[in-house]
Amino acid sequence: MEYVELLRVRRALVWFVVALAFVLVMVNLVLHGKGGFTIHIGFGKDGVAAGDLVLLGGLGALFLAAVFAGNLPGESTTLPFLWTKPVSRTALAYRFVAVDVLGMIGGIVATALAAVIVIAGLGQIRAIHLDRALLSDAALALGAPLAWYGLTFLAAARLRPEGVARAGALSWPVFIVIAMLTTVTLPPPLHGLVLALDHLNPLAYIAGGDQKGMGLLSAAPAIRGAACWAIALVTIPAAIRLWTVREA
Amino acid sequence: MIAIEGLTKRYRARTVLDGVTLDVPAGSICGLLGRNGAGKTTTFRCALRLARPDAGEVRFGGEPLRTATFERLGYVPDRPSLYAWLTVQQHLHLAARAYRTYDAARARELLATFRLDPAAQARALSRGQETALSLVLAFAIRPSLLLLDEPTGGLDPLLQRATLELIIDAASGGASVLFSSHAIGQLERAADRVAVLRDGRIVLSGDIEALRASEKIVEATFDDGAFRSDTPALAGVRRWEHAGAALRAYTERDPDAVAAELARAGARSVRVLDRNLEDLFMDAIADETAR
Repeated sequence: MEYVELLRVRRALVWFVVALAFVLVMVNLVLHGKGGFTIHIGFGKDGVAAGDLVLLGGLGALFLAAVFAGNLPGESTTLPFLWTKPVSRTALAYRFVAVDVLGMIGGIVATALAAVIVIAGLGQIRAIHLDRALLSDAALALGAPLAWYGLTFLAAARLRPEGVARAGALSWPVFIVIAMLTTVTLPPPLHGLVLALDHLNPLAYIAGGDQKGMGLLSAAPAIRGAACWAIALVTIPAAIRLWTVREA
Repeated sequence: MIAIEGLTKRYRARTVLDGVTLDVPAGSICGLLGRNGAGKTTTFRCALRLARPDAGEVRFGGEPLRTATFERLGYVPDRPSLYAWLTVQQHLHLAARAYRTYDAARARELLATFRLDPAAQARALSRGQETALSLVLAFAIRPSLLLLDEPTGGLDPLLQRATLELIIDAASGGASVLFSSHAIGQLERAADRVAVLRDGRIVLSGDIEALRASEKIVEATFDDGAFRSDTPALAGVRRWEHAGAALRAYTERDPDAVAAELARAGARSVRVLDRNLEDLFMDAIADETAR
């Protein structure tokens, strides 16, 4: 049955790559002076860490996470079709999630490749180098979209299709607003609440913070990645549980 | 066999199913009748755990519903449950991947019977074609359990007949079929058992032949509208019904004696009739229609 999700993810990835290609063309036009101005970019002696490109890929995959998170809860009129097949609801849900995870990995790779193409276009491909943080960056790059996916899926698991679409679309403004509110001076209890909420914000984890008092959010990528995975490992099974006990 | 016992479903304070109990033995077709909102679709949904019943149990082949049960269970919902963006062929592909019992040759044969284009997208199908695709998916696994909720909805008369033949074939091969329809004639043709739902309760159930034989209709035709405003007091007559110049007596005992009495009362012609399924249904919901 995951074939349905495979087709859906494939379609989303095609659109994602088309959008990336469009961005790529625009960036290349600007970088090569076609927009009436020229930008000179130098990567300094440190060059570009492959881990940073992977983290950029993680940012791209957040868009896909927001879309994929609505796929399973969005199954509404088709539940009688899905739930009368000889596959348990839980197994079915995990298979769908597995396909979505593959789609998010695809999004990370596509975004990182797009960044590599831009750098190559600048003739600086040699500036890219592998570093020791690559693995922890990769864990964070996948963990953040997974956490986003899990939180949005959890919020949408029992909603009707129109609510599911809203949950996916609203996830971006919600996470951005929470991140922005942490930088605003608020009364202490409110600031504490916003900071606590920001600890559930995948955007905050992937962006990282350099301010003191941000707790986990300003920790090393490996810790932030672990926090994202922990959020995902709690929210995804909880969302699946909610989904399997709803009525068709 | 499909055995439903005490199935109860409430939505807040409203009881939609109230202790529904019915059996469909192997090789039998049970017609589920009822007015709109009587609880037919909810019975199917609760039986398949698409809705959570508040009480009762459903057993398929003696066992509660399990994931493996679906390997031999075909279901056609009242509203087709299809992916609008997938083609007919892709739906079949999904079924082929999901069921070990999927029979590709049978599916091709059914596609031809229902004249479905494998390349057509589900969103381009008419209501009848959607039902047809649901039927193809249900019958392509050669199921031994069939739950069909209005399986002829939107089909043309030829395809309705083809569907009835499929259902009868499946039952003659040993399948248990629970089949709801508003087309009483179709049920009469296919089903050997009936269950009538009224306000979520089974008000009549059993073998159709036995139910028909349990009561006879004695129809007498009178000249000059005799007995139009009055009915004779005859022993054993449960109910009288006027139909034009005819007077119908519903009797459970000795219809010949009632016929003789009516003849003596001056009837121009008298005949004893079997009740049909429509009579049984109308009788079962008589209190409701009087409301």
